[in-house]
Amino acid sequence: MINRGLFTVYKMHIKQQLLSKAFVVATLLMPVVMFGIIFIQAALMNISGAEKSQIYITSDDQSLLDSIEAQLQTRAEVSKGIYRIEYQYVSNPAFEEFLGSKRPEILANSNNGLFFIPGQALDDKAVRFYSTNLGNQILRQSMSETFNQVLNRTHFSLLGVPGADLEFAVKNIDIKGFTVSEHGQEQGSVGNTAVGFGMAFLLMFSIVGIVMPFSAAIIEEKTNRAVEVLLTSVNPAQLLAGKIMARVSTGVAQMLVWLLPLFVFVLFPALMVLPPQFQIDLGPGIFLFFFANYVLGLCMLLAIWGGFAAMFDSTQDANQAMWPISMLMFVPFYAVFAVIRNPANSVAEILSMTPLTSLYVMPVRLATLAVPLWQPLVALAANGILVWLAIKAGGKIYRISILATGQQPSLRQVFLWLRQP
Amino acid sequence: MNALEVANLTKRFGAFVAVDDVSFTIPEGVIFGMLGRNGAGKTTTIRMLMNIYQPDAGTIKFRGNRVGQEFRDRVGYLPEERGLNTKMRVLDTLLYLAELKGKQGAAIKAKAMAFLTRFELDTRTRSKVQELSKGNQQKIQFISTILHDPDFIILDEPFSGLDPVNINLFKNIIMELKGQGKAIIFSTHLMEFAEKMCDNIALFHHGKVLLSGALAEVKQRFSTCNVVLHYEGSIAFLSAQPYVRKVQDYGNYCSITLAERSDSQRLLLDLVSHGVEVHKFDANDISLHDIFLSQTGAKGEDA
Repeated sequence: MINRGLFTVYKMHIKQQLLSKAFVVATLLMPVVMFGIIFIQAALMNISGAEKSQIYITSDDQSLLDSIEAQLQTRAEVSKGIYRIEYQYVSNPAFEEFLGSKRPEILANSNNGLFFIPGQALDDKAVRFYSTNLGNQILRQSMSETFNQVLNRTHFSLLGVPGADLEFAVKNIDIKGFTVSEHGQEQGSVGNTAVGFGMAFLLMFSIVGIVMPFSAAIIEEKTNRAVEVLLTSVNPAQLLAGKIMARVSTGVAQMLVWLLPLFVFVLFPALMVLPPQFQIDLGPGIFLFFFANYVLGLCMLLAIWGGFAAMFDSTQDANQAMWPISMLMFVPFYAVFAVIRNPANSVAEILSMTPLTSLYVMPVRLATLAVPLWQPLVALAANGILVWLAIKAGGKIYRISILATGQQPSLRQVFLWLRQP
Repeated sequence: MNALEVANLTKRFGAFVAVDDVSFTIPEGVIFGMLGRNGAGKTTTIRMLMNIYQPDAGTIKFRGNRVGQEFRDRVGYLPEERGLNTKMRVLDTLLYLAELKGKQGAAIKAKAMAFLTRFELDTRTRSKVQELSKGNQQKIQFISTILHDPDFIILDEPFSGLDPVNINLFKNIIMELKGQGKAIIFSTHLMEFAEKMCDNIALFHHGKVLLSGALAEVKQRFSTCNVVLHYEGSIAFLSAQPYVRKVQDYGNYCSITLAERSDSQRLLLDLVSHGVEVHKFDANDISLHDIFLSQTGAKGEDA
């Protein structure tokens, strides 16, 4: 049976949380912010890619230079005038003099550059690039692709390889993926992977949004002495538990709102037609795990935050002292990047079952792989144990320190508190 | 029957003994004055009564049973340092705190509105607590203390920061509550209020109870050989009189300790013969303030 005091605390806090402007704004704005970040990043890349450049392409082999010019004319950047290219035959001995004549122009704009492709490159593929900005990866990569194709074609053509074979040689390989399951195989899709990473990002945003303000709320209640009145009706454990339950419920409500479009799409796939390579195929299991894991993660972090925040009389002191603990939220998220290249490798497997990192890694693996059932269960159990420890420790620290004011306890004192029965 | 029995209560914070083997009893339906200077151990004792602090030793019994959730539900507590969630609305605050005590529904809401009207705050029900003045916040805290109709009320320095009109309002309500048979702990360092309102007292000093019992009995115990005098003129000559042990002079009135009870007649004659205009002469009377000073040796303004 739920204790009356705990339920009253829960009820008050859930009402306060769900009806707060912060909740409404965060819930509605977060998807906008996420899409905004992606849009801004894409826009920035587009803008930087579209930066106009004056390029000189020189060679001591006129035939090679003509081939490169012909190939580059097919590029959109050239036809749109983003790259303004001048082609110049320059003999090897005269190159230094030519470079000297172009130096003022190169110095005038960091986007300018000069390539020298000697005829020898047909044997050793060694091309020289002169610029004030060697870090211009966009230009280098863009030109490198074209130069490589032209050099390959010319090299093999000189060796007498027929044209069709030449086209085959310069064509990039295309590996089509098929996911193998017990039911057969079907064409692979990046849709699930995208959803997996999206879920990990949402988890991170939500956990930070729910957990970080918790310390300020605890400290405010402590400093305005409201906690003294509350503790005459409920004990510290009930008070902390009520607050944590309310925040967890708020988080779940927020996450449900965010994932609602995905649920609709998974339940009614006919509503949105996607190309095969972007198809999303997720079962209910991943959502069950996702929410169970999310609840455990929030409980764990909120208990830790509540306990530590109770030791401080000001938010500023708390923020400074709790900075290392904040790493518990951020560092595990970076484990997601360890699974990008291969979600099935042993590192990813271990991280997906390790407490804290499993919060983010397991949803990605579940979305992209057929993970054996025991692995998510182990992840949940491990997080469950950590939640139990965190609530025990956080609750103990909260109980002792919530009414203490003045000097903050030392680490030794906190350790002694934790050893108390 | 006693409402509350406190026996051998002790609380230590490290090496510091905040409350040292304290015992007292509070009969039903009385106002019990918990008196003492700041830091005497009153608030720590109250926090132990409220189970906010766990005592290191001692027992607390409410109507014969050890205090537990039942006591918590039937007690109203006004802490010395007022504490309300300042971002909550006035009515929500009152209803939340009442619900924590197990009271909810239309009846408690109507009662809250009645109190708000009496305290002239009925137009501020939707205001956030932080939007109220300090005095009005204190009224809200006071209403929240008594809204759930507690049997036992603890008021820690209830008048601090209030203007005289509101002090009177609070005082009247406290006396009404007493009239309803509720036991009230009234913790203060202001002896004037304690003397006027309390039936029983316990005098705290350095974590110990120096004396306790019915106020009338305590005063009687200390009033022998004591005269309270309201006067105009000079009483400087008294310090040279052999029958006068001690004079506490406050300008318009003084407390005089005599060597013998019978010396009061001689004192009156001397006052008249020295041209002192006597407005009031209470033989065998003593103020709580003087008892406090005599017991604690305090000289500060707190006393």
